[in-house]
Amino acid sequence: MSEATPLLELASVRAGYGHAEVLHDIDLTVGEGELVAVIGANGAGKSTLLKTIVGLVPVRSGTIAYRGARVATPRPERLVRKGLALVPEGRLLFGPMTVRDNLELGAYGAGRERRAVTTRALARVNELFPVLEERADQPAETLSGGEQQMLAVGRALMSEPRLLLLDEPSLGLAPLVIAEIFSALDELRAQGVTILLVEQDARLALRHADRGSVMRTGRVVLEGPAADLLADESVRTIYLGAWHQEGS
Amino acid sequence: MNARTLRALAPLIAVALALIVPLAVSDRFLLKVFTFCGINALVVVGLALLFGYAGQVSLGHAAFMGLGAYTSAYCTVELGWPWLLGFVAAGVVAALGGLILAIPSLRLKGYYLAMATLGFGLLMSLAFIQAEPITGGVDGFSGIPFPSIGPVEFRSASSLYWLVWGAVGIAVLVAHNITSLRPGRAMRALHGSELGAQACGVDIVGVKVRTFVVSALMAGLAGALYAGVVGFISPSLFTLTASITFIAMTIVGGTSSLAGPILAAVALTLVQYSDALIPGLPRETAQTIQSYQEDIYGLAIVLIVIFAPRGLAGLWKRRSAGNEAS
Repeated sequence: MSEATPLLELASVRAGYGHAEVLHDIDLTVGEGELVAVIGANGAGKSTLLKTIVGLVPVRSGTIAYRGARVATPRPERLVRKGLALVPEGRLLFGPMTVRDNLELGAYGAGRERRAVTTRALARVNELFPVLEERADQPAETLSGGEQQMLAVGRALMSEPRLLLLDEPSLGLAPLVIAEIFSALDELRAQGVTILLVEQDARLALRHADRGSVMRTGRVVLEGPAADLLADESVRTIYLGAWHQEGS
Repeated sequence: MNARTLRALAPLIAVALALIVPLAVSDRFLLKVFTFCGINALVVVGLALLFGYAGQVSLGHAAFMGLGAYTSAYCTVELGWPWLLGFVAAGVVAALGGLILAIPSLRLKGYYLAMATLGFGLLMSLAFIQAEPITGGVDGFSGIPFPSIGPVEFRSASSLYWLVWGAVGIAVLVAHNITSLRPGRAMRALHGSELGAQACGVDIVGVKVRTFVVSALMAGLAGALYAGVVGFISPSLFTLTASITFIAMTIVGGTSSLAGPILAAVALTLVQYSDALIPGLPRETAQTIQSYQEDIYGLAIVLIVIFAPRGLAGLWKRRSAGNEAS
């Protein structure tokens, strides 16, 4: 990680819905080229964190900076144009539209170079997830859960993002499919894409991440290199209980 | 003829049918009924963009139609403007009305947006009654001249038919261009998932506002055409019932389609004029059908929602896909 110029930096961020404050004094940095995992139990505030970064939940205090510049009023569509893409929880694909149309929509905000970006990004997505090329003319709603998740990631990649935010990409998927998705994430990181991953499956996320942050009731309670968190006894006990059952 | 060929030929068949009507129909009243079908189709093309493609419900489209109708009537009768100028003014005023309503309302979603447009529709219904010096109040606005463009005046039933369906044709071309290009993709994305669309970089508020304005403009132009065709307008024409009728036509016609809603607009308009359509139909029977008109619309919506949620257009697509697969 390049400590001097984090790609994304949250400082003392408080955010919430209505009167309820969900995030309390969140500090988080994501360096260029890193894969950072945010783990925690259900309701810890992980998804709210991503929604706050893209502007879907208002910031009450604190600052969010992207590429060194403060994002005063974040809006998802503006951030996409600045190279930040979100793969939302539940995928939110456009079901009746074809796979190709879904992917092309991912390059919607690419501006004047849209045609070139679409061609280039489509080739990259098809290389990463060849099944999407095979299913190009199928409505997205007819894909399997795993293929839909691949399409959601692929759609986000169509804007050629520098920073990819993923919300629970393993949710409801079979282990083999999860392995395929995470292998693609590894490949993306190798290509230089920075990834902020929110994931309930802590072991899986930390195994693929460079660094991790543990959230509990809207606060970051622990952070550090992923390998250290994997070895941390308190993390193992509280968040990775399944390991003991598996004897790992 | 296979499904793909039929689909390719469908627009040509539709245009041919529209062209044949004035040649095949000698009854002036029946021709006027088909002209009314065109006026409703024009409103529904706009509503198909807003509701069918972008997924935004409007229960106030009759108000935009009314705005257009009264603007055109006032400009031509009171200000002595040429009809074409009044027609343009009708579109502009309705579009401005759409913009004024859209900017605050379109941050709302689903039921809340429907309620806001419903409120707007009710407010405008009252305004059409209360603004008596301009609208003529409950007595309505009469003496509206026939449409004319330069020296050409549209007085005969067939010329009015051509004018109205010509406007529908232009509206369909505009709408088809919108839906088949980038804005159309954004609208369909918006319909699918607002957050999903935002995640793709779609400015959802901008898309909603633009679609709302175009949709209101088409309704306003339809209102101006109605005023010119009939020569008389009154507040009872631009009520909540009319707005719901337009929504019914769009739902029955189907989402993400222009042809389906136009077909539904024609079919459901004809229900109102069953006596003109079926020669020899006893007057009492025709009146009975007309008195059940809203029930027929309601039943059509219920049946479509249960058995064909994507409307007539969805049924057609499903059938075409089935034929191609077999």
